[in-house]
Amino acid sequence: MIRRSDAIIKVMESVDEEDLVVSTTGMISRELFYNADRPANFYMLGSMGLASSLGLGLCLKNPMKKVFILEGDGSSLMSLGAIPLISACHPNNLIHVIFDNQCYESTGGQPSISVDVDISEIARASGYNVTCRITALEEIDHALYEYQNVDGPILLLIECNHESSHDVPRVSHTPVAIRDMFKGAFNQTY
Amino acid sequence: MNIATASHDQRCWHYTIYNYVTGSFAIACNYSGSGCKTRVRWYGVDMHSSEFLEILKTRQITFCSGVPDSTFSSVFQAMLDDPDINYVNAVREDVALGIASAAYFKNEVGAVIMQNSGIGNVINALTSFNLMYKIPVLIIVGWRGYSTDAPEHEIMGKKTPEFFDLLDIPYKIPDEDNLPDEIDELLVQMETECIPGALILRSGVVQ
Ligand SMILES: Cc1ncc(C[n+]2csc(CCOP(=O)(O)OP(=O)(O)O)c2C)c(N)n1
Repeated sequence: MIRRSDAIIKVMESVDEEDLVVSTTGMISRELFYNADRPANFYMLGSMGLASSLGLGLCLKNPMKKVFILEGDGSSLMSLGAIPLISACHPNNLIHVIFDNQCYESTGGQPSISVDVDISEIARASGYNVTCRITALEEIDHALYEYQNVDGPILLLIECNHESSHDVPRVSHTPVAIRDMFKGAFNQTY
Repeated sequence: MNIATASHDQRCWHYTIYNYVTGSFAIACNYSGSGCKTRVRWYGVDMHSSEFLEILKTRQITFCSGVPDSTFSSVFQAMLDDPDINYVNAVREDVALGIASAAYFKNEVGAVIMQNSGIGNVINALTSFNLMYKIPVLIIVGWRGYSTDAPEHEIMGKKTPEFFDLLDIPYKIPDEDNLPDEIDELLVQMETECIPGALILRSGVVQ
């Protein structure tokens, strides 16, 4: 089983400097900050479930940049309606990554219904251009390499274990600093 | 806009102004007793959705998302039809807020358009996203339950402005005649404080 922080590191290895990343509430943002902090990361510290909506808006406002949404099974289930909405908007620059540990790890590892529900199938039925379920670490860069020039929306569901990561520090940037660094990255042209 | 009739005498004057687009008319008057202030009051047909969209567009508000409301039902179709407006047909009000907020990063103000029943759906996004990161968005809210309405709108109808008071979010409740000025004041406050603001529209203000 893949450790989630390893999966985050692998995904970030395939993210180019100019790409935008929006990460969800809880440990996913903390692990992203700890392992791959950069100005083009928007850490959604609160508002569980809102990362995908902001990510969609960013895709529409900046079609020239790739936008990665990094979220959990819990947060994607909370805003499940965003999945068909993303599909209906056809953002070809959107890569949606769900780290599916089948639980709410951030609040103590309580099980989520993704034990019984395959979120990648929901995305597929909603009309995502590509969906895939990943079960081994090395499949992550293969998939991201393979889909590099494929139009989005693309969904990668990465099966992760629910190893606790509670020693990972909190994001130390203030919300306004996150906003301003991200705004700079959003408007940077290469 | 045409001035149709006018009358003067030494102490006061009034003009009737007729707007052939909306079919509405206004009476502008200046009585000596009013401290030389001109008063304009519009009567007749409500602001048309196309006129409302022009007000938004002239203020560079063109990225919008929302969930429909019958209070201003024609505005949604008008937004979908307008090539200058990018309207995202959201599935929930908080989703709409997340989408519209992206405009901030492009130095624009996004707009959410929704019914007051959706206020409960946006509170967490307002407190732990827009207010926390200081990302302004114009929230256009239809005020169901302002006067006699269906039972499901009664409680939220009574409480609508209070929710915004509670969250320290500025709001305006304009008439069709002062709507442009009220939006301008709201936008200035949103920009200086870097927070969202709400335009609460009663039934009939925009049709
Ligand atoms: C609206 C809301 N409900 C509940 C919480 C508490 N909470 C914070 S993170 C989290 C779990 C998120 O689960 P998931 O997205 O699967 O990520 P994981 O915790 O597994 O990393 C919960 C329930 C919250 N922050 N906001």
